[in-house]
Amino acid sequence: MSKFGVFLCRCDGNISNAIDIDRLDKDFKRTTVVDSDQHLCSLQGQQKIKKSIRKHNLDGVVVAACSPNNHGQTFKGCMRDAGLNPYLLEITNIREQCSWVTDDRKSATNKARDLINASLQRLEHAESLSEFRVDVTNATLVVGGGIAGITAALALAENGVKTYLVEKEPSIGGNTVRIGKVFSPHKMVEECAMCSLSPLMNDVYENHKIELLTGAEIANINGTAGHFNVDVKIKPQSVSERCTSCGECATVCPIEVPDWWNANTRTRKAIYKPFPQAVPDRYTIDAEHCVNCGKCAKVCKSDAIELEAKPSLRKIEVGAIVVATGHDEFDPSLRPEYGYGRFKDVVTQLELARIIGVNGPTNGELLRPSDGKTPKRIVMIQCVGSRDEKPHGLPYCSSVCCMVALKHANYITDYFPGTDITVLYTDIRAPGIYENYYRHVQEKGVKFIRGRASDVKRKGGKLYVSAEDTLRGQCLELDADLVVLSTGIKPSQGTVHVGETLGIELGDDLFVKEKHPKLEGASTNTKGIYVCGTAQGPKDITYSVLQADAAALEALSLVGQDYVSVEPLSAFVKDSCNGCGMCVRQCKNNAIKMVDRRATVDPMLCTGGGACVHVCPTAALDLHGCTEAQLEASIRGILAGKREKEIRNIAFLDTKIGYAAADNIGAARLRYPPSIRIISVPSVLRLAPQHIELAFQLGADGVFIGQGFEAESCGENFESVETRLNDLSKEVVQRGIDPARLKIYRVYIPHFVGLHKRLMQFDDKIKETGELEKELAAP
Amino acid sequence: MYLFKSCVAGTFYPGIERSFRFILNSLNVDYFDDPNQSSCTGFAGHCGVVPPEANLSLNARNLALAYNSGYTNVVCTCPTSYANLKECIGELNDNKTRAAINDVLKTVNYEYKGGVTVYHAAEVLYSLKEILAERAKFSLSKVNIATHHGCHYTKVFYDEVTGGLWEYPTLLDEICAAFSATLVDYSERSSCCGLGFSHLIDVDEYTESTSFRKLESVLAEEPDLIVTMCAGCQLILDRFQRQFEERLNRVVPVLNVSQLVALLLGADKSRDACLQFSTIDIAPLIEKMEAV
Repeated sequence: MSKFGVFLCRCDGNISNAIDIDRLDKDFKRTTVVDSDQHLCSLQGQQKIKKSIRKHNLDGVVVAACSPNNHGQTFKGCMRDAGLNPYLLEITNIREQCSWVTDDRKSATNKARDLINASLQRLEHAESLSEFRVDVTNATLVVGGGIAGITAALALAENGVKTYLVEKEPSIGGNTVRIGKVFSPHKMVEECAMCSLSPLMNDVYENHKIELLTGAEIANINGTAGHFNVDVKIKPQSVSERCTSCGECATVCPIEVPDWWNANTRTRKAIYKPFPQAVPDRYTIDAEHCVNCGKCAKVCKSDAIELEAKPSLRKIEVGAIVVATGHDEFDPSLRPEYGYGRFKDVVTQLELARIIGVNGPTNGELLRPSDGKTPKRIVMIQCVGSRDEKPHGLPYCSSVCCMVALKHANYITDYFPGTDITVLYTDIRAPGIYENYYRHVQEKGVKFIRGRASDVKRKGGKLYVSAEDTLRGQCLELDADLVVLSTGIKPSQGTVHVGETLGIELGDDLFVKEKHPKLEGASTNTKGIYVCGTAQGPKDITYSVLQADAAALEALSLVGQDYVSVEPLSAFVKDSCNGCGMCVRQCKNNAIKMVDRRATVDPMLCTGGGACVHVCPTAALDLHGCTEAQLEASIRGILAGKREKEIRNIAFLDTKIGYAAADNIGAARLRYPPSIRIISVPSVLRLAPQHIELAFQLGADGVFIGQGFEAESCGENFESVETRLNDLSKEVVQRGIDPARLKIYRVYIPHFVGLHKRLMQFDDKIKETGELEKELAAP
Repeated sequence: MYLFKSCVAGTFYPGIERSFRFILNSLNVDYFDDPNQSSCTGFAGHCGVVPPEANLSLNARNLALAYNSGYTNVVCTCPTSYANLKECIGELNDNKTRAAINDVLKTVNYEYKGGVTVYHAAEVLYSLKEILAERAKFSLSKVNIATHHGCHYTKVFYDEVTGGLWEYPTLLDEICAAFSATLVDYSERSSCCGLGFSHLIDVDEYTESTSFRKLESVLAEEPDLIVTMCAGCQLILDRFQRQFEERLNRVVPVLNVSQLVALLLGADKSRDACLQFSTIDIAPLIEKMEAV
C-alpha cells in the first residue's frame, strides 16, 4: 500500500483563521503522515516537505495550501529535490476556494477535510511522468512600438537577440510623440519628449538585430514558451523604401482627414508622414481614406509609390513575446455634461499638449480653437472618466492625469505669464518626489480647488464651469476661456486584441493582468509572454520604461536557455487501440496520426484538453494528468462522506479560465456556501455523460459546468465547444436527470463576479429543489 | 401596450393623454386603457404622505393588473410613474419583499408575478419617430425648440435613458429633429424645473429661484417652444412662468411631446391636445408650424 504525506499550510492566518488546521492535523494523523507550517512556500516550509518525503519514504504528497496557480511549480520543485516524481503531487486549494470564500469555521474545516480526502483518493491513481524538452528559439517579438516597446526591443537587441518589433501605425513612437513635453521633478521644468524619444527611435532603425514591421498586427499564434509560431498581418506597403520624404505627394493629394498624431487638432492628407522624425522615415498611404486617384504616384520622382500593393502575411518564430500595446484616452463625449464636442473651447489635455507643442497646429502658441484668441482663464477638470463608477466610467485612478495637469499648468505659467489657471481635482496624486513639483506649481500661483466639476455651460458666449468647493462647502461657477479635461487612460483596442489573440489573461479592467502584482509585475499568466507599459495598467513614462526593461530581462532569461521543459499532460494510447481512427477525426490540432494502423499522439501538438478520450470505442485513449481513474477518483472523493440532508454541488471548471476565475472570487473575498465543490478539468471537453451520471449516482445534487469564454479547446473554437456541451447536456437529460440540476455557463475571467453570481443562483435553486435522493424517492 | 395614466397629467393637462391616445389610434396601435388602474401615488410618496409599503403594495397591484391583462408593456405618460414603477419592480425582485407584498395582495385576490416592463410614452414616440414624421401634416422647420427631459426620467434610472446619456439626454431632441425642428442648447439644460415635490410644499423660495434660473436660461436662447415629457415640469414651466413674466420680459409656450406630435399629425387643438389648459398661449407656435 502506498504511503502518502499531507502538508497543511496556515498561510499566516489566511487559511488558519478560517480553517482549524490543528483539527485537520489531528484527523489525518490517524491514517497518514501529516505536517503543517505557517508558510509551506517558504524555504523552511519546503525543507519540511522535502525532509518528510525522505524520512517517511513517501510515495505521494498532498499539499493543502493556496491555488496551484500560485505555488504549483514551487511544490513540484520540492518533489524533484526530494527525489519524487513531481506528478505524484496533488495540490488541494484550501485558500482561494475554501478559507477565503467560506464564512463559518466549522463548515470551512469540514470542506477542507473533504477536499484533502478527494486529493488523497486521486493521488492513489497518480502516475510518474517525465517532461519534454523544447529547443528554445533565440528570437523575440515585441508587440507595440511606443516608448515601452521601443525600450524593450532595444534592450533585447543590445543583448544580441534577434527582435521583431510589430507596430500597427506607420511609425513607431506611440503616445509619447503626441504629449510634447515631459516634466522633471528634479529641475522643476518641462523638457521636450521628442528630444528623448527620437534618438531611441533612430537606434531601433539602425540596430541590425531589430526587424521593424510597421502597419502590422498579430493575427495568430501557437506553440509554447521557448517556441512560438506567430502570424503577422501587414497592411499594404504602398510607399516603398525608395521614398525620400520630399513631400510632393502630400501637396497634390486631394484628401484631407483629421490627424491622429496631432490629436485631431489639425488635418493631414491621405498620403502623409506622421511627423517629421517618423521611423521609418517615409510617407505612407492611409488606405481607409485614399481614393486611388493616382496623383501622388505621378508626382513622385523616386517612383516609390505602389498603389497596387497588397496586404501580406509574415510568419515568424520566436522564443518569447513582450506585449507593449499601450492605452487609449477615455472618450470625453461619454461625459456630455462637460460639453466636449459641443463647445470648441473644451479640449482634452492631449489636445492642449498639441496646441502648446511647437510642432502642433498653432506652432506652440497658446491659442484657443474657437476664435484663435489667447485664453486668459483656464479651468482644468480632473478625473474625467477616471475614478468614476457611473456607466462607461473607469473605476480606477488613471495615475498620470494629475501630473499631466501640473505639467501643462507649469508650462503655461512660465511661457504665457498672466494666464489664470484653476485645477478642479478629486485628490491630487503626486507620489514620491512628484510632490515637490506639485508644491512648486502651487507656489507659482496655479489655483487648486477640491471638487468635481458638475458641468460646463455656455452663457452669453462664455464658458462657465460649475463645481462644489468641497473644502469650503461652497458651490462655484468659474468663468473660463478654455476648459481642459484630464481624461482617463483605458486599455487600447490593440491591448484587448492582442490579449485575445495571444490568449493571455486580462484583468476586469481589460488591461493585461500581471502574474503577480508585487513579484512578477512584467510577466503574464502565460509562460513566455511578458508585458510592459500602459498595456498592463495606467502608468507614466518613467515606470513604463522601467517595466519594459524588466520585461526584456524576463524574455532574455528565457531565450538564453537551450531548452525549456514542457509538461507532459497530453493524450496517450493504450494497447486496446483497434485503429478505427475516430480520435484522428476528433482532434482539431492534428495531434493524432495513424501509424501502422494504430493511433499515435504527438505530445507537442496535443494541447491536453482530452476531447478525444471518450470518442474511442475501445477506451484506448486516456489523458496524462487527468486520467479516467483520476477524474473518477476526484468525483468520488469530493462527494465522499456526504452527511444527511447535506447538499453538494459539483462545479467542473476548465483549468485555464474557469478555475482561475474561481480563484479570483476567493481573492476578492466573495462568499459562497460550502455546498459548492470545484473540480478542475483541463477542458470541459474532457467530460463525458458518464462522468456527470457518476456524480449524480454518488450523491451530487447539482452539476455546474463552467467553460472559459472564447477559449479554444482541443483546437475547437468556442462555438463548437458550446455545441458539444449542449449535446452532453441533452444526453445526460436523456439518462433521466432533471435538466434543472445541470447548468452550463460561459466563464469570462475579468467577469469573475458573474461566475460567482451564477454559482450562487445555481446553489440556491438546487437547495430550493432539495436533495436529489429525496426527489428520486418521491414517486 | 398598457396605457398607464397619470394623476398630474390628467388633472392639469388632459391633452397629454388624449394626444397620446390620438397618436396610438392614428397608427392603429393596440393598447389597453384599464379602468381599474390606480394612481401610482408617486407624488404623494415623494412628499412623504404615502408610506413606502403602501406605495409598493398598490403598484404591485397595478403591475399585476397589467400582467393579467396580457398587455405587459406598461407605458407611462408621467416620468414619476415611470421611475416609481421601475423602483417597485426592483424591490419586488427581492423574494422576501415579494412574498410580504403578495400576502397583502392576497386579501384583494391579486398576485404579483413579475413579467412586466415599464417604458415612458416618449420612448414609444422615439422608436416611432421616422414613421410619425412621414405621416406629419405639419413641419417644425421654422421652429426653434428647447427641450427639458425631467429629473425622474433622466436621473433615477440614469443608465437606462434612451437617446443620449443621462447628463445630456437627446430623446426629445431627436423626436423634434425628426420633424425638422431646430434645437437650441441652453445653459441650465440639466437643471430641475423647480418642482422638487416636497420642496414645492416646504420651501417655495428655493423652488421658485430654481424655476427662475431655468426659465431665464431658456429664454436667453429665444426658442419658440419648450418641449417636456413630464406633466409636473410642464405645470411649473407653463403655469409658473406668468409669475416671472415681468422679470423675464417675455414668455415661451410649453408643450408635452405627445401634444406636439399629435398636433403635427393633425390632432384637434382643443378636443385632442386641449391647448385651452395651457397658461402661456400656444397660438404663436401654431402659426410657425408649416403645413406639408
